[in-house]
Amino acid sequence: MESIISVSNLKKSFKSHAVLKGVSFEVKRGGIFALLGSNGAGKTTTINILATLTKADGGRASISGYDCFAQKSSVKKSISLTGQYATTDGLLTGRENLILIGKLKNIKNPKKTADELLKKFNLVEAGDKLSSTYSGGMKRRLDIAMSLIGDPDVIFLDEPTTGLDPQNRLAMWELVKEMQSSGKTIFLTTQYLEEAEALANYIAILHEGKIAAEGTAEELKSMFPSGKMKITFDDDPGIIEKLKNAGLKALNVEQERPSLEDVFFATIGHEKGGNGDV
Amino acid sequence: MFNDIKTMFWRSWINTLRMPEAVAMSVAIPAILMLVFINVFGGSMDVGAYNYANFIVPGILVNVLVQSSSSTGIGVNEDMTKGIFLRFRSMDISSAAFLTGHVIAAFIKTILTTTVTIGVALLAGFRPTAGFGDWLVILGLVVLFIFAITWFSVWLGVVMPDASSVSGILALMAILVFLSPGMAPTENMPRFLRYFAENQPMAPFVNSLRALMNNHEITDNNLLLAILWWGGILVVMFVVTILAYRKRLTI
Ligand SMILES: Nc1ncnc2c1ncn2[C@@H]1O[C@H](COP(=O)(O)OP(=O)(O)O)[C@@H](O)[C@H]1O
Ligand SMILES: [Mg+2]
Repeated sequence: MESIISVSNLKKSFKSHAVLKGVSFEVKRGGIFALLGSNGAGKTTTINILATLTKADGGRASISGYDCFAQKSSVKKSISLTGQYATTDGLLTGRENLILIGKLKNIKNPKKTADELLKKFNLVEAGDKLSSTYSGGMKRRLDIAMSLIGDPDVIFLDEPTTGLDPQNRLAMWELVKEMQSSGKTIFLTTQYLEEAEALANYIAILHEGKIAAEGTAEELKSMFPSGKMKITFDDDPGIIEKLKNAGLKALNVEQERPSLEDVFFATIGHEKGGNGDV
Repeated sequence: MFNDIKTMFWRSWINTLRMPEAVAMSVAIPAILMLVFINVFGGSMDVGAYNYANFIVPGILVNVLVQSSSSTGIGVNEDMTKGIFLRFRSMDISSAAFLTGHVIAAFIKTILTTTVTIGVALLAGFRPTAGFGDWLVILGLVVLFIFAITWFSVWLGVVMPDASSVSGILALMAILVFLSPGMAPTENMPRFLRYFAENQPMAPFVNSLRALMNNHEITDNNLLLAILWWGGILVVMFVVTILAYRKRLTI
């Protein structure tokens, strides 16, 4: 499948702090792409550069064939961005938020679209309440509904489930899959391995300003083949020999495959479980 | 672009209506100010040929217009720190629309405030003798002043780090009307202050309003100076604000 987003050698520093040191990846049309990284890895910075909101210091990026540095209007028309923190207007109702975006995107019938989206996102009852009164899960749903208006090719979701309870997180996963099956390309960032594994067709791990590893969840796992076990006996040599001599037969030899978590920690060079905040 | 401005105005206007305390305050404060000035200070000041209310109305009006522009800069400043602004930035919207929407909503609110101020003044003894043509010129001047001071407020909203800096600076600006012919005759001021008071941009504006309202001749090119000052401030603030705003769109 063709790439809808191409990023090569992207660089960005804030003052002397180099955040991106040459990031490259491709996103296939119609897939779910997860950019996985710890807090402060540069996920939001990457999204902001792709969405034309932050100037990169170097490299190239394009979306749907449009240059993210030179063809900002066209890029903006082909994307939508749901930020890490609610990108809704708290002083407007849910319905008004949707109408606002519909009008700004010049769609035909903003009111009708708002009604449809309220229904689809299970916000009909809350539709006429101020969005600042919404719960975290409702705000996220409204946010995503706003992002669907105007039929963008690529939907950016910056940490869509951070701060959600498990139930709402599962609901969000379903929603993301549904958006993909309706033909959208999803670019999401996450700090959670199981989220990347559950959702994404392709995962890129961003660490210390570079893509440390990338591939499907399966590919990533097979890059690090050994779930090794190391046993040390006091008279080390010949342990296998001894087992064999003792008449033990191996029935099945299976190489244990690592979890994505192992891959992540192997990639970033930390011991698993070192600090809980991935 | 016109559609974007219309939509942004719609949003700003709803936001304004959703803060009824703010609207109520912006109407109540000028009314109280007017009553206090006319009834408390009215007896003790020698303002020459004028009835005191007729003398003070232009000065209070300037004070009110400056104060009431403050909420717009605050609104812009707060909006730009909020999530919805990230969404606006990520959309293909004409870059003047967000600010212009704010300014138009502010204009309507301020016209309301002005009407209440004049209404209270009439109740308190303001007896203008302006003819119809004079009133049209007054309206034109007031509209020009509102747009100029509102864009100034919006500029503060864009460049200041927080909302309280915006309201602080505008509160200082509102006090400047006391260093003008707006609140008291300038003859008794010390020389340096008097020079400032008679030449700062608010001076030709209040002088013109006062002359027009009382059917006096406008002296010393005051009308022309008022138009040049506030027209100039409007144009400069508009351009400077749009440039500062564009800078904030990409980090
Ligand atoms: N506007 C900015 N000015 C200075 N530093 C910034 C700015 N934006 C982000 N950073 C820094 O860049 C790094 C990456 O931030 P970010 O992209 O938000 O990470 P993530 O989204 O992966 O948590 C952090 O160390 C952050 O402090
Ligand atoms: Mg982030």
